[in-house]
Amino acid sequence: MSSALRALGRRVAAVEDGLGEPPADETLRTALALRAASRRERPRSGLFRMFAFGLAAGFATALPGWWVLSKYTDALCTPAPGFRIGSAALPGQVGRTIAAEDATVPLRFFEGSEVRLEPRTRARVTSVDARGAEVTLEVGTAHVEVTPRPGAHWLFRSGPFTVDVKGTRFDLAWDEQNDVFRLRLREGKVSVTGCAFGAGRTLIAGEEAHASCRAHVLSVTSFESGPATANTAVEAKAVPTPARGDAASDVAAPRASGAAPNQNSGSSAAVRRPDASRMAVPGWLELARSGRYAEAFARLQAADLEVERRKCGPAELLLLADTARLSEHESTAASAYHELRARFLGTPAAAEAAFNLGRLEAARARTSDATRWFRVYLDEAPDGPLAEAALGRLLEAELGTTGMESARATAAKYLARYPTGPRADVARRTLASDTAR
Amino acid sequence: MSPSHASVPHCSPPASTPARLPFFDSDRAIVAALRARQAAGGAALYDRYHAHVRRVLLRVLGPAGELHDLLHDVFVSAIDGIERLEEPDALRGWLTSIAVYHARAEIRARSRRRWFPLFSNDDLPQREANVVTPELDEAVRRTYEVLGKLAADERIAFALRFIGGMELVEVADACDVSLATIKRRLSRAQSKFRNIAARYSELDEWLAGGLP
Repeated sequence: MSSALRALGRRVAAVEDGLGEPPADETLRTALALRAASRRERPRSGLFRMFAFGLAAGFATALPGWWVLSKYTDALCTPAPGFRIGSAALPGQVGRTIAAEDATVPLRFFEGSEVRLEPRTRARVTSVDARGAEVTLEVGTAHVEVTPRPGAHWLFRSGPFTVDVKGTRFDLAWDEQNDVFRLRLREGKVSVTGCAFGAGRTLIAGEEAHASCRAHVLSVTSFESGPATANTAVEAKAVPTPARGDAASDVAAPRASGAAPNQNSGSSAAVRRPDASRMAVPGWLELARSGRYAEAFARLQAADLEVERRKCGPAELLLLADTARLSEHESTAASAYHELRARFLGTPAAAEAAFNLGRLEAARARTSDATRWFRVYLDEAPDGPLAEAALGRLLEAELGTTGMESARATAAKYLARYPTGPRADVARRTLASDTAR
Repeated sequence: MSPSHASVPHCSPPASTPARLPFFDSDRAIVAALRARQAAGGAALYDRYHAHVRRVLLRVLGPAGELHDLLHDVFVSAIDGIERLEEPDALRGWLTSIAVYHARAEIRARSRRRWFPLFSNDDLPQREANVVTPELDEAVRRTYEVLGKLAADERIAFALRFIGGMELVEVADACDVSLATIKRRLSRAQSKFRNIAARYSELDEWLAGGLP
């Protein structure tokens, strides 16, 4: 009986697997990244549990009635999902292109949100449902006001960029021909993905992003929010600060106070240089700790990298080196890892620097050097948090360089310590090839 | 550059490229990043385990349209509750148990919806199902039909053991019960499955012990 069920189970699994896995959902990935960054501790004390239990018991009797009531009142009070176009309030059709020729065209949605299309703008509403809508800006400028509601979810797409919105107010411009994306966030926060934004970047009120996909350029500057006029809202360019040194840096940081005067300051009251007294500019450490490595590196360069390095303790220096590595400034990263090892040898951070030097060398296909660095890590931190990764990477590097003999020894060691580790299959194959001979 | 030479050869940085999230080598690193509230930790958790979690949900629930939402719920629960994970190396098993918890809730919700249509979400727009149903063969369809008639806990144990191919200990861990309990549960599930499946001709040959 059991074997028959296993055979049936395997068949079911094979059919399911044969359907293929959907690709990674970038929107969900980004949402989870944001969730991780904004996670809050849950109170877990006994007192809290007692309080919560009492509260829950109190509500338990009233809840079913309220739920049923709200279900029907929602259905009665909330209009059906949809939108209307222009001052004539013509019913909008999903998927159809809406072109604003000479005048601004408002799109008004069922729950109060509004998207105003500037002249010479084309857009399509690609879906509308109870939670919100998806709007594709084909070209031009749109001013968006999404009404905040629980569970609201809006997406705005322009070229390769996607803006994920809950409830906020912003201006969005897309010029496909010149590959220019601009977003100015007036209220709330949004998450932008695609191209130069990579897996996701959160923008907060007061920030303005400029991006170009082909040139892989992303700049985020701050502006002083105020009563901007519609025409200058996005068109007025903020001035990104060029990074020093590695001038090809992909993110330009906003200037600190006392920066050069804004070239647009005379023409638009909406765009001014950030005022340090009113706007807290996060330092490189804060940016790096929140995973915004490219910005952190740009901030480091603006502040003087050498000075910052000298001020660092082992943990900060490790983070500085990681920031350089993860923002793809490998030579700076390697230099910082070496400095860390020279100044703080014997600390866990120095061991981790050795591991990361191995990783850098492996990425440059210098497997012999990579092998040595992974061994250094394993010598200095045999039970460290990266021991499994170091041993696995050592095995992979040895398979490519030093021959099978040392690789077999490493494979055996790996399997003994991590029989279900992610490189256990490689280790088994390595040992099996030995047996086959 | 080698361990004995600390000097760094100068090389110009590569052309500007989009910002990337860091790569995490281990579960410990992911857990540490999540506990430090780093956005990259959430992304890394998803990268490393979304296929696994999806597979667990798929095995238990079958190719249902709700998988995407459940996947979201599982990861959100994991991120919010990361402080409760005592052993970071057990991250995979812990995620499995969260997935099972959400799958159980979904099974019970489906059951409630069957009995109380008032609680249905039919007025909400449905996501497109993750699979193309014509590709499912009848045996698979019938299997989930039969599983739909089992109690939630029995269905989960059966699906993880026979469709997911998990060891008994893994099934017990995922269901957060003892080995003895899971054995009893599986025994009941097998017996019920066999009785109900006997009504479906598509499953006859399978249950007779041979491959059609």
